Amino acid sequence: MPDEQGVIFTRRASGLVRELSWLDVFIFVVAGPAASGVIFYSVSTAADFPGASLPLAFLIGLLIFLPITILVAITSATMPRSGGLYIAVSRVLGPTLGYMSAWLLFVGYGISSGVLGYIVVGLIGSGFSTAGYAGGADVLARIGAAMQTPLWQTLGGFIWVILFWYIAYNGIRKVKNIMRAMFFIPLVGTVIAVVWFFASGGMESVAASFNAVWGDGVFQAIQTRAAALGWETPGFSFPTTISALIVVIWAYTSITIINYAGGEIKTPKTSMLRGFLTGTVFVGLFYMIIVYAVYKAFGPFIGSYDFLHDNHPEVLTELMGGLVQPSVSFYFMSIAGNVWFGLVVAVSIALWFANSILPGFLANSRLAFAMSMDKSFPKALSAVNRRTGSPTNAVHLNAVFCFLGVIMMTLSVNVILAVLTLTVFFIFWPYGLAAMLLPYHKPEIYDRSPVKKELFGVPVMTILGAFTFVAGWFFIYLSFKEFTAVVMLTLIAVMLAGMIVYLYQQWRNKQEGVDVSRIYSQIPPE
Amino acid sequence: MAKLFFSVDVHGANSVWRKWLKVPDLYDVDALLLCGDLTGKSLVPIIDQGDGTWNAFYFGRNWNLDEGSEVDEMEQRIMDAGAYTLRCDKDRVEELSNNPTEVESLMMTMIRDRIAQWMESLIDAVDLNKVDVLVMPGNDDDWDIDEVIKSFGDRGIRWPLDGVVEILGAPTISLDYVNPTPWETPREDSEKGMAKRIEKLVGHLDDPSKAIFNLHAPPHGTMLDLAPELDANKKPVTVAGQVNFVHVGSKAVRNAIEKYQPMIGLHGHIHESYGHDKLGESPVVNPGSEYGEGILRGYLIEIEDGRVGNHWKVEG
Repeated sequence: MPDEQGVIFTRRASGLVRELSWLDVFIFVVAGPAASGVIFYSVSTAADFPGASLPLAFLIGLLIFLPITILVAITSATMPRSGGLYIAVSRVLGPTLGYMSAWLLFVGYGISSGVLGYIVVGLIGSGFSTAGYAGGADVLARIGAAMQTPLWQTLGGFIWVILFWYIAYNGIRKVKNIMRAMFFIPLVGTVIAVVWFFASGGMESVAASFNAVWGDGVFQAIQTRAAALGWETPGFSFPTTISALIVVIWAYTSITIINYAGGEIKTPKTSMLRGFLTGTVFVGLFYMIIVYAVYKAFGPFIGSYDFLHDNHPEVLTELMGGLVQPSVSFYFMSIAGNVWFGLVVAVSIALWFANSILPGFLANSRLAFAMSMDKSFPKALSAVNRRTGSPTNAVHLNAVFCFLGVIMMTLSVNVILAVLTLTVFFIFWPYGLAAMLLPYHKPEIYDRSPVKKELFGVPVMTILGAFTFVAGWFFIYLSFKEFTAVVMLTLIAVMLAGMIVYLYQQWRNKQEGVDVSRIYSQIPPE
Repeated sequence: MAKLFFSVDVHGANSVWRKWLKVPDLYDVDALLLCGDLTGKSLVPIIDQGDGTWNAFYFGRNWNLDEGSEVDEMEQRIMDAGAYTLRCDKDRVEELSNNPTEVESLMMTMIRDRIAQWMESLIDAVDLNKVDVLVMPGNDDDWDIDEVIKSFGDRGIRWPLDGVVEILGAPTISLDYVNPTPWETPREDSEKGMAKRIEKLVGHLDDPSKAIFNLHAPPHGTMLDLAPELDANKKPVTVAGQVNFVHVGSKAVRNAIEKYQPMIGLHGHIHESYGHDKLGESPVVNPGSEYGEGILRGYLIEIEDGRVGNHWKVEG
């Protein structure tokens, strides 16, 4: 019992600094998911989903994610705190489900960032290889080939992680400024590529450009060999388009990532809504335009190439002198007309992957910070560096998981990577449920919402929450398509590890006399 | 000749706020700049003892109060001094002691409510058709109050932090941030960061020499930024039995004023260091603050043809 006669309470601000504007929200909304969508999924899945209309699939993805991002924007504006969706889930549905959702996400985002760092090295290497093969520069080809080996991708992955670790450690201002600069490099590169594709002048012109790079008749030979080996150019298939949503959903998956840094958004009521809406629509249109542009230029060739790459790589090696992974960069370089110009643009596009790493660092460190502030995670993780305004130890912990992601890629532990899909998607269904219930269970919080309209007497937040709840289970359904016993056991192990930490923290809270139910009845301090 | 009244660092004190409201009538001013820090720092529980008496610890001592007017009067005194109050029982105090998050949330609700009350009373008391009123948070203010103040924008209270606003015909730039302090307040930035923020603001001005620089942090090395030197435990350092004062203001602010030579620099932040100084040809002022004692400090500044005429300190 404290000495009640001497009690005065004082404010304890979190120490985080509000620095981000709506433009930064927009940038993060785009940068979070852009890498995978722009570079790979637009062209590397043609053989996996024959007959799928990817522009249509991306449009459906936009229609699925737009209501979700609107809801995220609303709840982020209502509870503008670091931790984002975790805050909503834990305050409405309880600490345990909130913690588990956040823990899975923390693991998934952390490892994914390392994975991205590994991949971007190979992707840049692919650009160098293409330039080397195309321009007859053996040095470039060797550099590119080396960059695609596990050794150099590992080292490069570590370097990327260390770089972004340092940036994140130095606080939100550094993150903001670097993201603003980094964002526009691949954006410009992508725009150049899109314009180039649209101006490619028809299939004959494309074929001629491609052959000028890769050798006379190679374009036609690829299609001929693919057909001879069993590839048939498919007609449109709506069911396959729906099946392609598994990759499209992945392409949108990090679109909400900035909400986890909600405690660092200036004027969150306006910035969140404005940034999320513009960003989401931009992403959707961006994806559709890119896909449409590439297919307009290369058409059915993409399917043939993808088929050979996935099933008969030796054929491509024979025809082209080397194996290059299909990507927007690859297709652009094949028709760029100048090797060096193509290389510069290709590398700039590859930097979309780098753009996705820093948001992951930001979000994940704030997620750990938020759980720590709620006493569900070790206390040290909520320590904020006064000079930088950065939760230092949380940043460090995220770096550990990033390194783990790089190592996993090195070891080709695919089963772990398969778990990532579920970990990053898991939170959407409890978040949707929390949003459905919030107007009724937490009216004092709902009262602060910038959107309190009703439709047929039902709060819009509840309606959007219901949609998100259903979408969340749809995401899990898609994730389970690759579910195996090993994946299940791995997932169980991850969840158990998280629960051990959680239960230990709750035991400590009990020992210290902390009533966590009080913590979860309020939203955290600034 | 237009007159501007500038005051800072009220820190939640109702008594000082009530005095602010009377300034237009007392001094016949044309503009009122009420700048941060605006919010209080502490929550005082007034504890039900269960026997018809209440207890509160404030003003450095325990107060045993009888139910009724004594409790009401003490609550008013505490709020006048800038703190927030909560009537509760002993169990509630214990709960709050174990839940800093709940304390924070409770205080933020009280802070927002008081700011909203102040804005309402300001609208009621001051003819906003005749007096330009600008309200700005400071470094020690939480971000939540920004939205509260902004929400009164359509009723005449001007919000200065989103760009240049015009006060008495003079373009005015405002900055709530200060250079690093020992207290880890919400709106602090490095000197480099301060310089960037100021440069960004100045970039919107056509002629900085005709502008008012309303920068919460005082310029370093002036009569506006003297504060007690603190040791590692944040205790005042004494030399020969006397508290040692050092300059703690912002070098970036000083550099900006020296570089751009604005019409005037308006500052606050260092309560003990009220006074005025000059950097080049630019006067700089800091009204200081004694909000805990209910004293309103301010500067009256006369502006004519884009130039500062007289300026003098007032308090009461």
